[in-house]
Amino acid sequence: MELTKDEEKMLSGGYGEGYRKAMEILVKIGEFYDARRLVPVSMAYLVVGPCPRRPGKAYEWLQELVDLGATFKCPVPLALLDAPSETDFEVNRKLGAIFADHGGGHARNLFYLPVAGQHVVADGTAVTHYVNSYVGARANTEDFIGQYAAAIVGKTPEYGYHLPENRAGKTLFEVEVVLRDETDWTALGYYISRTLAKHPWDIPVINGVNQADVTNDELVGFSSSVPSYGAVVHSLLVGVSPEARTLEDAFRGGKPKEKFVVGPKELKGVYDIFSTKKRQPDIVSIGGFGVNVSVEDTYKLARLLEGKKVSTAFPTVAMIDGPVRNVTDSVGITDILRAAGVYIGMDELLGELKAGEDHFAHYPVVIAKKMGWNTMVLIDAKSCHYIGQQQIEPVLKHVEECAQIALAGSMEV
Amino acid sequence: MEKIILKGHKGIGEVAEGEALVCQEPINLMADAGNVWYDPKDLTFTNKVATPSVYGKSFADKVLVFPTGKGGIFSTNILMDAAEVGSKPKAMVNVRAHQVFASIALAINIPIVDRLDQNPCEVIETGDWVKVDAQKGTVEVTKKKG
Repeated sequence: MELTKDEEKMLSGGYGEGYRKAMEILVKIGEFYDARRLVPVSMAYLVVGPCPRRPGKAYEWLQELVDLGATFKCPVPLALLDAPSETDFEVNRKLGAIFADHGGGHARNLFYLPVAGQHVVADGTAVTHYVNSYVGARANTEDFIGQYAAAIVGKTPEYGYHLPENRAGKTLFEVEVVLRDETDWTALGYYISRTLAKHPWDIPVINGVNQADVTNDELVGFSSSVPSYGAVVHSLLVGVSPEARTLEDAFRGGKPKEKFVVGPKELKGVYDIFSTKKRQPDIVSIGGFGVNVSVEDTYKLARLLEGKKVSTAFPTVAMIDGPVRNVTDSVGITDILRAAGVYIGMDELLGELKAGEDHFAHYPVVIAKKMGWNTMVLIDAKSCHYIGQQQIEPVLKHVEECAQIALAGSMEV
Repeated sequence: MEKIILKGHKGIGEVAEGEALVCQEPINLMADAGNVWYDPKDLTFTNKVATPSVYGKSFADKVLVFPTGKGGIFSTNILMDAAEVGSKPKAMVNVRAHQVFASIALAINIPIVDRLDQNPCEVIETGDWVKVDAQKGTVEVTKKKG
């Protein structure tokens, strides 16, 4: 890899040991991926957690960089998951993070957006997909180490989706079904993710959706599920993605390697995978392991549950966090849902069940098993995918169906 | 005994050898090896749906062969804690390495090699003896008997 004189100086320790270590990681990763050079990152959107053992080895590694004098070289908004420790705050404060609200790990609550064309570090796979596909910024999935090294050096190796030639469409998905809400969009994401599981780099182009019918929240939901089964972190939605104004634009004049049609049968197939024969679930969790609830869905829920009481046969939880929680608190939705018997956030439910000290965000599946939640009703396919893999039965339902099940105390509604 | 040599891209790390565990599906350690979240010594694949080819098997001390990774950006944190108590794979071999796994190799000091001249998930079988030389970018496979 070609380094500038200044980068060489950093690599040889001219700016201190902390920067040397961070630069060494970027160079090793860059050489592995045949990057020609480093490119400046405009921001690094990081997230604290889920990291069960705190402070574990990763935090020792980070603490060492801090002790050696490293600080962030680009703006670093830091989103929080449920329960960051004081250690997390302290280390990141010293590095120079801008603390954000709760609700990291998905693209619902982004308050610090990049602009088109910028190279960035973008949280996990869901945010990486969102900024690549709908903002037109450029990011690869990177883990904790790659992300912090890039934020400290202020640069990242130029490979993968940082290169324009790797951003063109390769696979065509013709959508021939009406996607009626965010849940349907997460099902579409899951279908594409599963289809491209072994070759997620064959960028999907999604055609046939009227841009006037799409909401940003649906794209947020799609962004959470399309990297779930396979690692798709860049796709092109024709008419919406900045790099896909038209179908021809999406493929840059090339032809699709493969073509798939997603019709009613394919979409229903996803709901069939995530279904149950049981009459009663162990919990209804609106939001959860993938992406938390949108403002629109909290309004839907409030309309359906206001003045009523959900069944006490099993708990109903609304995973509302970050800026969405600020809205529901201020407009009275939080109160309406609580009055209907809905728990707001998993920690509230676990607190009432006296489930111990563990935070849900740290060990979601372990806690679900411990609580005996063997059948869970959820509103997004990523959540279903994650828990379905761990011997818990997930059931994918629309928000309206979740409300009906919660009120009736039974799946047969 | 039959030996096959695969040649690929220069990898990360040095030399290691061990018995192969071949997974045919892409991997996300956070979702596919659920027990390690709680017990750093338990590297068992727990995911019957997404990784059926290795379900119930541990990748501790194995050369883990799989097509690519999926993400799970906190997998590295979890594997660093696991490596601290001695549980880690000997090496990793991929069709195309995902950044999270390249970074894991760096963090826990094991070799990773990818972009080989043949598909490692087809050539290597679970139980074969595999020697990975990351700097040379080679994977030497000794087929198991029978």
